[in-house]
Amino acid sequence: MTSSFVSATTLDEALSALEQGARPVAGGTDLVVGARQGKAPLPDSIVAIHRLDDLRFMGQSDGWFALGTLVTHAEVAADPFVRERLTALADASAIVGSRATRLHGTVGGNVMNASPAMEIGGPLIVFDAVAVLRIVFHPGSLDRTEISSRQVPVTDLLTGPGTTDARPEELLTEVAIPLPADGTGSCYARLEYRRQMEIAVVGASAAVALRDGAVESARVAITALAPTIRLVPEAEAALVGSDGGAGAVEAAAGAAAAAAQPISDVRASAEYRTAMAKVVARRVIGAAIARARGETVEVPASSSLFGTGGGA
Amino acid sequence: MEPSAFSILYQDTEAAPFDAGSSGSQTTMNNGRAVVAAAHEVREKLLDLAAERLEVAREDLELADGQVRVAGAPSKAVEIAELAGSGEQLLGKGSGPVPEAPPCDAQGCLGRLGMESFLEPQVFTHAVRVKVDRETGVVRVLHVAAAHDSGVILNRLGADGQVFGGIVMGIGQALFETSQLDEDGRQRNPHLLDYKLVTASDAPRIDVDWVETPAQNGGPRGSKGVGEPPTVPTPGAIGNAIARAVGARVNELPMTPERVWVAMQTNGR
Repeated sequence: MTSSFVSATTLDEALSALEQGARPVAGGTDLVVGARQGKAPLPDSIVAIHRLDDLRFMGQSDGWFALGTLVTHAEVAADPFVRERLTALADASAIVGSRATRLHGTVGGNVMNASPAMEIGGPLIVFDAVAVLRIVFHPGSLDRTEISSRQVPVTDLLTGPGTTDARPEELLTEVAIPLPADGTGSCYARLEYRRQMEIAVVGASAAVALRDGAVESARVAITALAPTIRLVPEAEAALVGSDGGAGAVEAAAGAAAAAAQPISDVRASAEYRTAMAKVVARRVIGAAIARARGETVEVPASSSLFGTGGGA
Repeated sequence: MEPSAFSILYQDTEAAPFDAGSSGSQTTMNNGRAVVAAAHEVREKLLDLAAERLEVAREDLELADGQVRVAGAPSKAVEIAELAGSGEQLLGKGSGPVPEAPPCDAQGCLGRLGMESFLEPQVFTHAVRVKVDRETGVVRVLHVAAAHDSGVILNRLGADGQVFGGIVMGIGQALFETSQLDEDGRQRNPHLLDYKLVTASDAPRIDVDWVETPAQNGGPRGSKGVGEPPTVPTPGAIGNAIARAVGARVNELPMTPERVWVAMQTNGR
């Protein structure tokens, strides 16, 4: 049962509350839903950060594309730059939960919830995104309060199901993505059983840069197939230097499946997940290469690649 | 009188007479008979009141256009609304004649509740088109066509709605819905995240056609039940369509992507 609830109006206030042991809430789509499901009780002390409008930004600067922690999935999915240059992130943001989830759920909340099935984690990791964490400290005396920040690659931030490298007093304020090279195509898709209100049973992300018809660099990550979303360097090695043709894609997809350590649960058996890892990775890598070549694969790719988009 | 001239009062079950409940495709079947019987009693009272008011013989009166009037001399009339507001209580009750049924043991646990609705069985068939992803086993239902004989349809909009809803429920039974239990009998998916219902986005195109064969021994005005039939053939039709599409039959519900995939691994073409 929550005994203390503060709605912060400044970052200082929010960070001080965290220092005092409060837990942050933004959209509430994980914290509240989890509590109602009995996953974890609501924290004793909560600090709401949804009024920190300084953390609600999205845009380019100095070779980076920055996403404030309070940007919602719906805003990310609708952003023209994201759809054009960070397409995998648009694929993911467009299919998080339901429309209501996307209107309220935030980038920061999704990342820090650290679900191995989260949609946006894979795209952030294949784009080498960096998380910015802020914390208050007291130089010299407790009366003096300053804010320090550190940057952690998202791939290192996620340490296990529901756990991160962040300290409890730290607040994720921003996720920054280095602008991908020209000629980069990317994709995220998940296997989904129905069209809405779905959660990834198996997901994969890829970002592939082509130069002169050959794969110059590649990043592949798998979702819901290991304790954390993780990169698959073997899949990347299979792609780099190749022509991005069917053989290279198949080899990379095989590597992605080989890297999977899936569990059996109510959603699928480990055997099925492993088999699907290869299928999903193959289609995702193929779509990333197609986009790098300038071909159109509609956002969100899950609908186009898994035939759930309707029509005969 | 137009249906819009009536309002329905939902009364407390403490005061209302008992019935068998909204189940067994017998709600309209049973309540419809009761409504007809109760309305008949109200009609008798209206005729009594009007005969007195108009000072004419009761046998010369008819009910039409919201009035009680003298047959053949419609200018001599009184509005039903006026009679209803006259202070006389116009209450009717009834349960209607029970259709002829073979003898059944009313002492048993089922009693005879609802047995009448099975005297005039509904006849129906569904055809579906599905798309199966051969690599993943994910099934999408694209189109369902449903033909039903539920006797004379009393309310087309309501009857169509029963079929739309029943088909979507049937798709849920076919593809998604199941209670998974662990070894100790605890439900492993006790919430709607993993007990998957069909969402509106998953609902396919549904075409409904009615074959209206008047029931001789069924509900009011030749009607029959309509509630359950639409859920019944839907999973079977989907299972047949999957088997036709991929050459493998899934013999367990729901036909999840994994089960379809396993069936294809074993028997698919």
